Amino acid sequence: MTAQHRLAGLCLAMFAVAAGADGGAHEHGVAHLHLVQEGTTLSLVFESPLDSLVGFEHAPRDAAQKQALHQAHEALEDVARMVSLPAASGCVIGEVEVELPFVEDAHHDHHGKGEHAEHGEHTDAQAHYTFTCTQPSALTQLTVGLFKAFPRLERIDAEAATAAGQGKAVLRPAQATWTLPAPR
Amino acid sequence: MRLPLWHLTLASVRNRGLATVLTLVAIALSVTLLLGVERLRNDARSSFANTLSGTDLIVGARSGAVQLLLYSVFHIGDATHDVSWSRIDALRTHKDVAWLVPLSLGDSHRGFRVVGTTADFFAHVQTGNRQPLRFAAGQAFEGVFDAVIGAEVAARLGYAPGAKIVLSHGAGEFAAAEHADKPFTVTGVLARTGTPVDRSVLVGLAAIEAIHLDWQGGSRIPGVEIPAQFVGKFDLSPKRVTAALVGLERRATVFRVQREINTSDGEPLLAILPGVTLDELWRVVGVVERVLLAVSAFVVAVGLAGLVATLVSSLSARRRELAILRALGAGPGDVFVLLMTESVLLAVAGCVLGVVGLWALSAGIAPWLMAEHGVQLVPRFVDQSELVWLAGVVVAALLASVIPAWRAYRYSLADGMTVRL
Repeated sequence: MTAQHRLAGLCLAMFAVAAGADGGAHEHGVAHLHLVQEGTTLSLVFESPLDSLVGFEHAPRDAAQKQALHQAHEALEDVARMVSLPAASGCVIGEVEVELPFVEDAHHDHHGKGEHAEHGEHTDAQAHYTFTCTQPSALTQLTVGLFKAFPRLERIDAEAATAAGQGKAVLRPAQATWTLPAPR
Repeated sequence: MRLPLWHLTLASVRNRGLATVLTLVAIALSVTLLLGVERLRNDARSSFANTLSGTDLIVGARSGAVQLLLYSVFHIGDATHDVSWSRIDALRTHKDVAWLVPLSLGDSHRGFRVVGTTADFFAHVQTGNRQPLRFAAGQAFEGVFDAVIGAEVAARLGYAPGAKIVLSHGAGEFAAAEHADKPFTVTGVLARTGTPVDRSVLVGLAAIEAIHLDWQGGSRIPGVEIPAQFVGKFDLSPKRVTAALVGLERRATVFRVQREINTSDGEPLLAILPGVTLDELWRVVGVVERVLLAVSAFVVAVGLAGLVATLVSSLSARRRELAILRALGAGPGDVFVLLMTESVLLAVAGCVLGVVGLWALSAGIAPWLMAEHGVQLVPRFVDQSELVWLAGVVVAALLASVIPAWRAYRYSLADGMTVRL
């Protein structure tokens, strides 16, 4: 019993470290990636402070900043460059939705999703990707190209909920491959 | 004709019995430690991972994610706050929520935690790879003073359905904090799961309310005593619970519902994904694990250093032996090989002994680990990753024994033939 309490004490002292990992915090250089697989549908939500993608968090002030925003938007829409999935999983990209603040949206169907409208001038960028996979059980790993596309990005806190279970990993430029929860 | 070297090695080792046996024991113990640390780490992880499955979210008062997971699922530590029942009840009717199992902690029975919950617990809580809970005997609780007990509680205290038990307030250190006026009847015993459920006493939420009717702030209200048969006259609907396990209609909504709960107004709530939080815990504990592993690797190094020291110090005593070998026609290379064979043989024997020792040790402590900590040690001799470690030990021994072998080689060249007796 006492050993258990000591373990508890140790763990409780450590919870403060882990507690910060809960999504939503706006920390420059740190992005979040949520993966959900249900049946043949795989959806990914990437959320990052705008600063980590383009280097500023305000409306573009000159042509260069406008250009940077435009490039970030293009990059995020290039799904094959952002994430690669095992070929065996037979995943085909369906919907792509990129929400970048300060971008006059030429693609009409985006934005207006409501969920973040109340944040007003929010400076987080979001990308939603939905795949349809013929072999979801072959989804053993995922490699992100986000670090290559956005050098200011230092870390991605990645969380998954799949048929095999839930899991979390911290991705970094040197370790951009995420081993997804394996069935037990 | 070449000398059969291995035969000489054996004879030579036998000739220096005690020192050899002690070296062997040192290596065996260090190997047991190294593999034991690794094995305990792996088995503890899989035991923890197998504790809960099929639950999408755990909701509790806003504190740390790891803390919430530990007290709600693993019964480690205590909640700093509880949650009002109205908030939890509102969640139950949330459109994305399929089922919700409330948990009310804080009482105990002879060292085992009492969990106040609903009969949904037995329908929705799953362990391992989606294994539902099974009753080994009896059935779920129905009346206010009915209780269901886990397999370990039943085995340790010898209870069967029909037994009368008394719950205690808090962890049960003080006899004065017993709810002796309101005994419970065991209605069911759950089959063993290898999880903290085995060490739990499960009662209805109404039961938790009932035993605390005449209590306030952790102690009995003086002069007030409400006999068990009258509790039905009181409002036994729960007021507060500690946490709740939540299953969703569709997994796809899990992050959205989590964010919704975490950013909701009013009483601060925290929703966590148990599997994600467990990974967070392992990331933190991983540092300690690596330190432990490094320490046990050093212990192996010390064991091998002992092996080298024994061989080196034996060399001067063995000049005669080596000289005779040379006289019989053994070349310096043969002496080198002889020494190498000897130490590798010792290292391999140490590894084998260590593995046997580990097997005996884990067989010995497995029942205790299971009962006290819910960690299931899977009995086995060696698995693949352990073979890699063992190979590493043997290679390290091979490298280390170059020192005594080289010295023996030098001896036999320089003065092997002319040693003064």
